[in-house]
Amino acid sequence: MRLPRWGQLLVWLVFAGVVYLPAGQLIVEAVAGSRPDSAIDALFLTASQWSLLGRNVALAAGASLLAVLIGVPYALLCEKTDLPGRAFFSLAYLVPLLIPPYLHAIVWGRLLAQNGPVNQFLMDLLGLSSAPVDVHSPGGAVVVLALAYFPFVTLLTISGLKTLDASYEEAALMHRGTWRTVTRVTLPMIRPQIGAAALFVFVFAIIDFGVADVLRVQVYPVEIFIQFSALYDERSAIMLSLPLLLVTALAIALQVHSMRGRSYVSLEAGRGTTRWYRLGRAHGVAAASCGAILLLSVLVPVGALIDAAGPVQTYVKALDSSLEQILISFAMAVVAAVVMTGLSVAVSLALFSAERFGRIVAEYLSQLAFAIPPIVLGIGMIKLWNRPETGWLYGSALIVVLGYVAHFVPFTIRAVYSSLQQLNPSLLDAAALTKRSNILVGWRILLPLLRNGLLTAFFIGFVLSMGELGVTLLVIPPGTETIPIKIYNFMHYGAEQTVAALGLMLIAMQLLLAIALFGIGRWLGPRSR
Amino acid sequence: MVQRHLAKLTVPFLFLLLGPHPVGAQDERGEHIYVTWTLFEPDKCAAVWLIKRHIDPDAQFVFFERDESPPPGIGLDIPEAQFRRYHNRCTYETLFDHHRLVDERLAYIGRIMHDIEVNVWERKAMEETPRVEHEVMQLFSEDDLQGNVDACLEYFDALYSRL
Repeated sequence: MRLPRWGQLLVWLVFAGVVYLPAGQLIVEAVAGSRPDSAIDALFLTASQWSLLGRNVALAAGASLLAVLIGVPYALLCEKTDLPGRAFFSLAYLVPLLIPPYLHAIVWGRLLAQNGPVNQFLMDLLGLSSAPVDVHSPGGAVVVLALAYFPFVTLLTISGLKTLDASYEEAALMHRGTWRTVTRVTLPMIRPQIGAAALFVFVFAIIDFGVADVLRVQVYPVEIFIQFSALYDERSAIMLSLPLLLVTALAIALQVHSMRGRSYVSLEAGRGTTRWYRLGRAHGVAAASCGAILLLSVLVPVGALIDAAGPVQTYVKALDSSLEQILISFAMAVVAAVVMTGLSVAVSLALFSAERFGRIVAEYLSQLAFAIPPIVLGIGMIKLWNRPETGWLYGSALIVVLGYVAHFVPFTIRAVYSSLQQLNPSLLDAAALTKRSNILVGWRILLPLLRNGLLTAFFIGFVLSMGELGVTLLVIPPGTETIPIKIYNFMHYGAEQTVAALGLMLIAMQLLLAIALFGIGRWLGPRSR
Repeated sequence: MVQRHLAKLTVPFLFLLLGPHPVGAQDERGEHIYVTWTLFEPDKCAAVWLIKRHIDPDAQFVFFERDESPPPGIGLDIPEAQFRRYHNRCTYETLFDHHRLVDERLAYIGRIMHDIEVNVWERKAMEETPRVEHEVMQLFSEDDLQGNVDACLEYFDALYSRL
């Protein structure tokens, strides 16, 4: 099923209008509105700004490396070994994604504060006069970001392992031991997936605002935010954002290049062909390692939030004061996820219908959107939509929904496009023989076949939107609050109990939706019939 | 059938997204009584002065500990209040905007408060911000809350007249 040329053009126009227009117009205005020499001058950063950008790159690279060191062994243990509790560990690693990174930062900022329980314990134990651990540092931000984002690495690594041809490993095992086979054969074959995942985490970390702000670590996006929100210097903020945009665009381009022709999410492929390694005596150590990762990334954050929230009355009070914000956040995330999923189907079909060269360019364009830092996207949206004729949009919560879509749609496109790539084309060819209209074939045949991809896209869109902070901070209309914004505002007042209760409600809502979607997926799946 | 149910679900969603969402309207229960935590800092100090001198001369301030429930009154600079610090505005600015005050000198003080309260990073936008912050922080005493109010009124009266 292919889209006609005019259909493809329409899809790309809508996509570009939603995703690229705000930032594109912003940059063009900033450059065109100044003398050519001053625009070029603005691109040359001061020594301190270079140092900040360098520090930001190092921080993101550190988070990415640590996420790989956590995520790849976890994926190998889950997918290639007889790990005890394998079914549990294969699902549980996704739970940290339900905890927004700034909640990780709040929890670790509390636990590892100078006078926090961990430092106090270590000081008593080792007889130290000062706190040995400082989470309010670039190193602290690296650890927090890695714990929040390692599931992306695990997800893509597992996806690569599922599509691996086991015969190469079998051949290697005839001559070499398990360790050398894994390190010399298995890992090199999934290098593109690991590289792509590392770049994903790198981009997430370099554009992150929430973790750096909570942990009070001075990073480049914070500098842009200061220029715009505190110093009211819009042009400096825009020009300052260009080098960051170049770095992130390069990372995304590399990532798309490394994954060309490969699937990001393996929905069904490769089952039954996996080569399993026996762990033998390492059973316990392997399970304990996976358990420790889940302990640090899920149980400690959730446990610390439960501890901070205190009695049940806190939840009642938080619900009482924030019910409207909870409903608004939920409604906005659902609408954004539906729009993202719909747009992703259209873009995926346009990608699928494009000619070879056009498809390569379009694939890059569909993913480069994520390179736009939220702070740049937010400023661009203010400039684009804050005018009398679009006041109805800018003054309502729909502007936030638009921000979510613009920021996160590359992810949902990946989920749907992967699903489309894994379809058996003969099914659609057979449907075409019925000479029914394309719309009917799409509705009756294509969408049911894409159900896993659609549910995955909806879930990704919902989760990312529910936790979004960077764009929302800039575009949210006065008088409207989302849960992340409320958490951000309450943090300032030291209202730890309410922050913890709201954080737990946010996680619970996402977990319930995940379970519901998982159930729907199984119910709609072929096995239940 | 499915489409009809979806349409029914869509209506409340659109109402939520397009409708106005006034925050904390329930706060305005007691006239002239503003309830706030005992903790003082520059933004609250300036907000107290703004209320007393330019919004509600009959205003009274009732203080309570942060772990207690707020007494009846208009919440001021507490998490549940309408007039509080937001991610992009300080308490002083929310009062200034809400009452649509038009005064260049008041707006200038608002920019200093924004610089202290919202621009929490090292670099400040205005030259006098560190000085004002330092001077205001010297005014407060833990035991004498009414004395703190009086000191705030005196300090910002002087600052306002200097501008």
